[in-house]
Amino acid sequence: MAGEKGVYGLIAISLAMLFVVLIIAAAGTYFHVKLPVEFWSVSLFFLTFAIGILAPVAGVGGGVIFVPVVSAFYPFSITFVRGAGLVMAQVNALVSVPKFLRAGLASLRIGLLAATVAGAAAIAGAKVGIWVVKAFPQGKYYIQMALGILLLFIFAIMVTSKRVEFPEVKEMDKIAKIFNLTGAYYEPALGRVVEYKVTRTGLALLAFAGVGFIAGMFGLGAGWANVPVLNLIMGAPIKVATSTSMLIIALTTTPAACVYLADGAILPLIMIPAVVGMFFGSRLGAWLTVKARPKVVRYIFLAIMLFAAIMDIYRGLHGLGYI
Amino acid sequence: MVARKKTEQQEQIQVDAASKICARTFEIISIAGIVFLIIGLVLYVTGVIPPFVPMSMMENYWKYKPSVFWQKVSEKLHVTIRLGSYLWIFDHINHSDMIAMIGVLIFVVGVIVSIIGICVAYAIKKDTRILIVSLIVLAITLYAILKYI
Repeated sequence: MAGEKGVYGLIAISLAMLFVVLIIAAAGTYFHVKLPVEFWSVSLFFLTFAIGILAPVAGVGGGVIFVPVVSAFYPFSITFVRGAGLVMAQVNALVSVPKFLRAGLASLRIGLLAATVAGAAAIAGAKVGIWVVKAFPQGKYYIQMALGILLLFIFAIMVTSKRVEFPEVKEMDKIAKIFNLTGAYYEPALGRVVEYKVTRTGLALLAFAGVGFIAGMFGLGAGWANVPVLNLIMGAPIKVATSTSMLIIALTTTPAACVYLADGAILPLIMIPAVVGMFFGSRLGAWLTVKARPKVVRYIFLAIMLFAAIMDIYRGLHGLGYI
Repeated sequence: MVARKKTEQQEQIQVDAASKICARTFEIISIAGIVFLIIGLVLYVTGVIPPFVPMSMMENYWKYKPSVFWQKVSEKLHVTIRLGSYLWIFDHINHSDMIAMIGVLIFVVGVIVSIIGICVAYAIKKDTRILIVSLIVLAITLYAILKYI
């Protein structure tokens, strides 16, 4: 009982931390309240620490909250936020993938095949994203508005999409057969080894190209899009889909990160506290997910996402002079 | 009994050499990269090694896009910043914030090392089709990293 209280206490503290940081950040950004320069870095650490704790509990990735929320509530150029978001997504993936691979949950064969198209598309996306900001005087506002619209789309996907625990794949397609896209993992809920195979690989590769482009352009990990492609299109079991998605992120964010790094779009003062906060927070979040998965946290996160989308669209339109 | 059955079933799962190599290298690079980031952060915050861009300057410029940000920093500090390659990091590597950036380079280079390991594992196994796929992923990643050297 005391343990349960502790778990919910930690969730409540994390949520409180998230809201306090965002309210103070909004006061500095929108109402020009003078805040010490150290606040921004320290607050980023606590913000990503709280996101890291709550994101796994809510069943969402950290990057999809970080980039829109920070670009909406903090005074940084959106390009620096996207650069930090990419590194954060990469670190998260690098840390979590080893245990997925050893358990047979992440499929290296599927991950590599997806990375061929998603990696190339991520480089193109990163280049286009940086070019838009460079080439147009108001480019950053276009990107911010597009991010808000994308976020509304992700919000709709998250609210409406269904997940299939063990999709039934009757026959593998030609590409899946050529590359032997099969696997097996131990499923504790069933008490047995689950063998799986996939299908519709061609369609999935097309989808991965689109996802990679968006990931590179907006600095998102894009797990929100990889998982439905793997689960609903290819027919991979949901655990395999979420784990393989992390592997794809690890492989595809690397080329995109190079583009941001060389262009000076990764600012240590923004990136380091964000990555370190997320690194420690996600460890606590992984433990917490095993203990509790209250739906209310997911709804709160979805509400934050919706609010951030509205703020991003508002800031974009305001910057372009429409509001 | 149940635990033994579970262990036996888990042992049935064949994880290939390429997956094991990938898992091990990811573990090493994530720890090494994070250590550099934390060292950089500690040096930055404590001021033991001064940062390239002082915090006070950051506040005035971080609202600008990167090209303008670095142009203003360059004018203010009277230094050359060679954007478009990784040289802007190595030119100023004696500063705490740039030491932290080594952590990001470790993540990038480490992934390449991991993909090379995967290619070698598939080559030894003579799994030609997936080897070709791995080589394409390696080529894309190498293109991205080498383009900016």
